[in-house]
Amino acid sequence: MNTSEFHSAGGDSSGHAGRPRTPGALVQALEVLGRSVLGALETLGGVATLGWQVARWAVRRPYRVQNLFAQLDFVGVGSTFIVGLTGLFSGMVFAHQSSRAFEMFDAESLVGPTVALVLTRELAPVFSALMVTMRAGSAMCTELGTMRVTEQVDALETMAVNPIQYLLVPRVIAGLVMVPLLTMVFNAAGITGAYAVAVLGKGVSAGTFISRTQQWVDPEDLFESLIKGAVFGLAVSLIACFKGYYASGGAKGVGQATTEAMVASALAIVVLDYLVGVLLH
Amino acid sequence: MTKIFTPLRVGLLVLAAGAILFGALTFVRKGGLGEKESILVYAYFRDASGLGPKSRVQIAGIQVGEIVDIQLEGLRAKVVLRIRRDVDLREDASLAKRSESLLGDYLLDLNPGTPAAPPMEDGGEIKRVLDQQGMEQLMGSLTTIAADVQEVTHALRIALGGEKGAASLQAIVGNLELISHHMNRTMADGEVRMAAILRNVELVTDQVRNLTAGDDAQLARIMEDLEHITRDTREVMGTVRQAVSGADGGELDDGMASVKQSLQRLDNALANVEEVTRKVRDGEGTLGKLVSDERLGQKLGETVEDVADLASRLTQMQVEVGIRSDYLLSQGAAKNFLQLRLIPKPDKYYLLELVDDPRGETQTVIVTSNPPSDGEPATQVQRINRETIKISAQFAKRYYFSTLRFGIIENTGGVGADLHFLDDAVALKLDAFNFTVQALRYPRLRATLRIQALDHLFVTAGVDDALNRQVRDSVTNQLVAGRDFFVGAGVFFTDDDLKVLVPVVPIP
Amino acid sequence: MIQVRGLHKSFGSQHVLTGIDLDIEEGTTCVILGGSGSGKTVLMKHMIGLLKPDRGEVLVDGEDIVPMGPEELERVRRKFGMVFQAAALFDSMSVYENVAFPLREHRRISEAESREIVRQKLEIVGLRNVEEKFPADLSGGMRKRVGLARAIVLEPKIVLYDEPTTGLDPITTDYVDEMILDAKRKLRVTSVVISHDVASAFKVADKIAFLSQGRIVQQGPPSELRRSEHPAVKLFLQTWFGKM
Repeated sequence: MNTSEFHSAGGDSSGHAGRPRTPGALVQALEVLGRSVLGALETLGGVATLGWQVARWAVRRPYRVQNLFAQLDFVGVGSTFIVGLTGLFSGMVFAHQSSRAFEMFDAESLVGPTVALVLTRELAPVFSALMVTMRAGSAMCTELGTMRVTEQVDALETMAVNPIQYLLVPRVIAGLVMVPLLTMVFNAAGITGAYAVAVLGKGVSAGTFISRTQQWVDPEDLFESLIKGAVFGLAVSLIACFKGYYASGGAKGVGQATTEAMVASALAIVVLDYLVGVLLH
Repeated sequence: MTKIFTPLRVGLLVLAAGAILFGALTFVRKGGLGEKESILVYAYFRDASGLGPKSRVQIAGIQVGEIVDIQLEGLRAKVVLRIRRDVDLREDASLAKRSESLLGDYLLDLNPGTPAAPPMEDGGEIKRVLDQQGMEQLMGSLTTIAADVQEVTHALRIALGGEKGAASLQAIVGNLELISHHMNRTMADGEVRMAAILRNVELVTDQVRNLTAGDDAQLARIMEDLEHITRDTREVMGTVRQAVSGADGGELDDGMASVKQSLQRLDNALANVEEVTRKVRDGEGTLGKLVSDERLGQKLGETVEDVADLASRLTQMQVEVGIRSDYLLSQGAAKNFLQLRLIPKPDKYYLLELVDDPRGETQTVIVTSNPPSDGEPATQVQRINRETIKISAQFAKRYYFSTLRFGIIENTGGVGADLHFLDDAVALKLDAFNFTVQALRYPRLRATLRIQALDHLFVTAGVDDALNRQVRDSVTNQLVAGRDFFVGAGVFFTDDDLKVLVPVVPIP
Repeated sequence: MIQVRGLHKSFGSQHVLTGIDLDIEEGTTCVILGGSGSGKTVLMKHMIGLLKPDRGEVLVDGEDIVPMGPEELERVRRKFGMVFQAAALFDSMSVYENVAFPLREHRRISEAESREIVRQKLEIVGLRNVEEKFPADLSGGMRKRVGLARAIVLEPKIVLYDEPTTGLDPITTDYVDEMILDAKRKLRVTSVVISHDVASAFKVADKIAFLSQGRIVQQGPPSELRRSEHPAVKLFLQTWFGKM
């Protein structure tokens, strides 16, 4: 029997496997979509698991106080200037544009409270977290990724030091604690800039500005600022640590991990902003 | 060191942020509206539009509470308010809704009630709610008024509208013009004549006064003479009458003819005078034109206005004179300034300065010396430092809290920028000039901090030529270039007298 | 000291280890020889618990470390010192801080004592006056030596070497071989060396285990392997000894 005469598209009983049919374009598209959704869920799950582990190891001795302070300094003090500068200019721009709009209704007195409310409720936590992400988040991810691919993380493990406790706990705590503080700095800088533009630049009366702002801003808004800041800080530091800690594939892998961390952090900030806002009101 | 430094910095940040938070909380806490310091009351409104949570409740313009919540109950709105406990709220209190601004914000005016009524309890109801005229009603009456105005303007338009209407309007206006013009002239003439008459009357009364003021004896004498004169005149007149009506013919006729001629000449003269005055009145002839030309009057008016304008601009322009002296620490000498500042508008000024700078100017001199014997003449390049007076002339314009300057600074082109703080009491001035000197690496950069003390006094401190290394003149050991710190002080005053000396200044 | 029984490990569809059986006696030096990519590092990582197998046992001092959690593993790991392929020094710390790291983590000693111990260990690996330098300032060979110093600073019972002589010049290779022998003699450590350096293997090993295609195809004293008839072993050894 001449087996070569048998042509079959699929597998036949002689064991010759035919070429598998390539799936159609629609199926391929669905696959891609499904994979990305699954990937996102995987990341979410991974981050959550890591978060749980970080929480567990954070309360165990030995406490890495020096590492913690080094990270608090890096994330907090290091970002203060850029957060302050961004805050100042955001406040100024917003005051400028809103007073132009309000001038049309002769309602310049509303500039103060408008800027203050938008700052405390939205701009301060979101922008502070974004600045911290860009500066500290990328550094965390790259540093951890490099340590991972050069086996420094493994070295820590072989020396019976838990890398999560040694490396990740200080960073996550730094993000959680420092971003709310930076949010306050942003608020202060922003309202100062707004005051300068509105009162000194546009001639809104200082008394009106201050009294209206006092009237419309509540302690709840300040707390919203802080809570959002804390939530964002926790999220971006966890994401950066997660992506860096589990990076692989040499320098390229580390770079890719950092990019993914940045994108994921920014998305997380936006989504959490909405969720926290809904929860608080 | 870093071991202590890092936690220190972190601690500072925490403190700073905590302070900001605490400060902000204190700022926004609504005094007196915490749960313990206020009571909750409610009221029913038929129309609660424009009211919302946080709307103010005030007495005589001062906030005493705010709206907490608004709910619908049946067909009415139940508005829940929080009122401070220190307000003596009674059960006959009343609320009135009032609009705050054109945007439709509303607030509630509270009348706390009379002491005769029992005090309001926590959770009680304010039963009296007054509905006052809100913006909508105001808009309503405005609309009616507008409608009436429209009717009137419509009627006017019909009457005066179109070409005919416009033409008749023009004619009316033209006539009014003429009438007023004539009236003016008549008044003017009348005035002149009145003045003349009055003058004459004055003269006469003067003389009469003199007459009557003199001796009675003189008066009596005059009366006598008058008597004589009148008697003589009567005689003469009698004679003349006789002569005229009598026979003495030819000589009298000649006399009469000559009198008549004279009278005729007088008449002509008078006619000419009349002619001239008529012409003047009618604006004919040169004199007339001069008197009656409208355009001339207009131009005169304009010129007067311009002069007034110039004068007012001059009076508005401020002039400031000042002197300042800075002690240069490395140089060991003082640098003196004489400043003149012309300020045509509050946001720009011209600055003229004379500076006596111990740094002086470095001049390059090429010295050629001929040796006594044969040989090439040798040239030597010498750099001599001379003390000179330098001039600065700058134009400055102010933007918000900063001023930008450009012009000549100490004999070279330069620019400057100032930042003002604390209501212009403190200024940070930055100058950059002397860009093209090749011997130095950097242009001359100067930063000055100027603090105003008292009305006319200020102190300065700063650094001159911050970027360059110090270079000293080899001969005099004077500092020629390089970084130098200085402190100084000065006085200035605006002098009104100086304005007289500055008659014509080009004003852009 | 270390026994590996029936170890299987796959990464996705790649079957790296397909049944490893290996015994390493206390105080001996075992060299795991094999070509690049044969799974030597993976096997070593299993021994210290950095990887968990799909199937099989890893016994250290009689205890199976496979089912252990992180806390228990910590205890076991204190018996080990590991020298990584690229030294894996912490680049944010100086040489002194790197070598002193295990000391500070697991012992309470004064700064002066720690300095002395570090100096000693660095001297053992032939480095002097490098304590204040940073890993980035050192050559590859020096880094490896610092890595070794760090691995032995706590004087562990077992030292794992991941390709200790790869990339070193002949003199330094000799040096490292001497160090491994020294460590065995002086400190009585059990050494497990992964290498594809045949000469070093034959020099330092008490036992050589040849890893090929996921299995240990032959294990025994060096002399035994020299006479081996296994084709893979023969091929490999030919590179050094010439065609036999």
